[in-house]
Amino acid sequence: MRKRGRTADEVGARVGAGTAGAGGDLFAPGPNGDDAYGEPILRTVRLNKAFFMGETIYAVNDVNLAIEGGEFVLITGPSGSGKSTLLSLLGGLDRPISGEVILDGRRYSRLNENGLAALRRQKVGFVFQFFNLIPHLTARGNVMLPMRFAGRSAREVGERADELLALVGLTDRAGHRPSQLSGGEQQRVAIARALVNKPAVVLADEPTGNLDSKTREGIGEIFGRLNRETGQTFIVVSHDETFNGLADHVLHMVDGWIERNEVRSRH
Amino acid sequence: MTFFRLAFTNVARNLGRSVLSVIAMAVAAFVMTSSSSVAQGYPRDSFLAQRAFIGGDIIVYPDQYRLGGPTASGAGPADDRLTYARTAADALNDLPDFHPELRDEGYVRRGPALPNVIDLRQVQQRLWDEKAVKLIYPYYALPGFAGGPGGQSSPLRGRNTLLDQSVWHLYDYVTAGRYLTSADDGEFVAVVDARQAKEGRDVPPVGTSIEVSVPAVRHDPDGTRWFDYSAMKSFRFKVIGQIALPTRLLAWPTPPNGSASEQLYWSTPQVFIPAATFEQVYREVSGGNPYEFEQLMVIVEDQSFIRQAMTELRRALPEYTAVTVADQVTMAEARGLPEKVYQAPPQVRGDPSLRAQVGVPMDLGPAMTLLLYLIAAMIVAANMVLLVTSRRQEIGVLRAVGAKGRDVVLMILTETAALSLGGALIGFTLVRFAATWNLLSNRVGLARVGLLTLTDLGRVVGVTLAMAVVFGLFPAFRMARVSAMEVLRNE
Repeated sequence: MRKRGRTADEVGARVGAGTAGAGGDLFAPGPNGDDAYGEPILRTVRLNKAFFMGETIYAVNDVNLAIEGGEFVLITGPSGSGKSTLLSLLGGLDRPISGEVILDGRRYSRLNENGLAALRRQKVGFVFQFFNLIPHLTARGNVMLPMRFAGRSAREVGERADELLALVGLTDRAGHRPSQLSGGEQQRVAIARALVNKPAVVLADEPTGNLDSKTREGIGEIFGRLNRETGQTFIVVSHDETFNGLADHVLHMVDGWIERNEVRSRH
Repeated sequence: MTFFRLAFTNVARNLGRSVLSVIAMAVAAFVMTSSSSVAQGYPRDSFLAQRAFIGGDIIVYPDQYRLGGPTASGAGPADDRLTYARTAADALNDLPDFHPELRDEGYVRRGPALPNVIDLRQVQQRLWDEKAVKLIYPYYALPGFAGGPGGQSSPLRGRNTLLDQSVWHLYDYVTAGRYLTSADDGEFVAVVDARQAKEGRDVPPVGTSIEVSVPAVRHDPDGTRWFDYSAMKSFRFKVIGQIALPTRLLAWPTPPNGSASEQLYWSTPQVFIPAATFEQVYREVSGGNPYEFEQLMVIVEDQSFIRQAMTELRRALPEYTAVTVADQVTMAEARGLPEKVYQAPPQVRGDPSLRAQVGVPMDLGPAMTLLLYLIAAMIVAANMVLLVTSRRQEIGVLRAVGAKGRDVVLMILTETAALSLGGALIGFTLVRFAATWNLLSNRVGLARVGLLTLTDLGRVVGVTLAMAVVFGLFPAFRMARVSAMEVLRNE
């Protein structure tokens, strides 16, 4: 991560210095006003995130992105380049110091914490490196959790959880707790949990970072299959080459900047 | 359901702290259940001898006396709103036994003095709808002197022979001869206290007779009744029995390592005669007037709810004092009254210098309950606050997958309520067993026991939940502030 001595005001002065390849006209307001931007499911406009640790450090620096529905996006870059920070901003887990994230036409900056929570519940699924399952709930219970917060009926929630556990091949492990599951199985539960509310975007932060090589391939296969079968957008932060073959959009980050924005033809 | 599962699972995960919370809440619920159920009354046979002697579970007497005639020993200030009243030596109630200082020192009450008699018919009418009251009947008594005028004080006490047989079982306390029966109504027969001999008084043997002199009863035009000791009339009664009323057993250590005990007895100079006979005597000394009461005895439906009955009586009769015999006896025991103890050292039998309110403290139950609930709720809240630190990651995950602040608040409150209710139910159950036994011993119907149990349960659950919510809000809102970013801290 590059350290810079800029202030937040300076960042504002630099607005317009978009990342190469982002395409300036793409980020103009859409025909339906501020909240409607047309085709991309997810976009960012001059997104900045900085931390102050004695000096201001930019983890995400003037990032402009346009991600279309159904894309499999891979974010790569060296450690500390701001990949995870960008992902947390895209998922509404964190707030930028400036700039905007727009998901399916909804601006994050206009949402309070509960609004963001509701948006995450409806539109975003998360898969974390360390799975982050609730330890005292079963696999089924963990998968059901986001739907329960959405206020769905127990029957609907149960059926959906069973469906997803079958999709990730864990039907016979549904009643097990995380401590009774292998790392790969836990990650598959986390994937099922991420998908339970049929989100528009699934965000995964180093989903295979804590797994052995064989298991990584299995998880990669699941991601690719789900992306193809469900048409959901996957944005994966990973160093794992497994995902490179699956991605049709690769972003390479260095020091908070998008150094390379490569859109590939669909597989 | 998810919240409940999470809550209960978290309770189990933090077992040590949860147990502490549960115990604290159980103690609070224990005290509350005690004060709302067991403390409502007494087991059926408690203070039985004293209640039998008095002839009721609750006694009712006027707050103030208007004394007249030569027996009036204290006249108060002219201000009729603040009356200095004094219990006459010949007051026809139990006050002198329980509060001897009232006779000598008097007491000050606001408001106009009442006539010194109770209009029983009016009182009965007012108490008609009081369900807790089973029976009301008058206290029959007249000043009397054994062996003629100037003899030892031996008040005549009219006894309802039917109730003495069927309710009070006074025949159980007979030490010689027999007790009065309904066949004795109208007969000049008497039963005396055998324990009077221990005080050096003459106790006429069974089969002999006792002569009692009674003053004439005069009525002033203003309704005041007084006794004319210059016009005494003597009556002779055949002694058919002697009784001794055991009250309490005292035990105390004796040096170097021994112990001693003594059975105490109610000691009374009263001469028990049948009520019908008493009324004959009264008519003869009062010039044919019917007897007017200074005290009523109330028998309640059951001892379990005697405080409720007492409260109802006080509400129905605001100008009268209604007090349970059990309370009066408790107070008297603290002062060493009215038993005359022969062996036990003073510090064991009570402190005669103690005055009113000793032994019958103000009902601090609700205050104590509130205090304990506050402590318990704070322990639960402290427990929950500690959990905030250990569960930030978990809450972060919940926030990340879409839990709103209110979802987290609800979850924490559910957890707090689960802990609190768990403890409260334990405390309630422990006490309720004893309370139910108390109720059953008073032969309270099962339907009523069930209803009362549910009522008490509702009260305990209500207070517990209120406390859990109030004290759970702080940790709940603190947890609700945990951001979804927490989930990334370990990433």
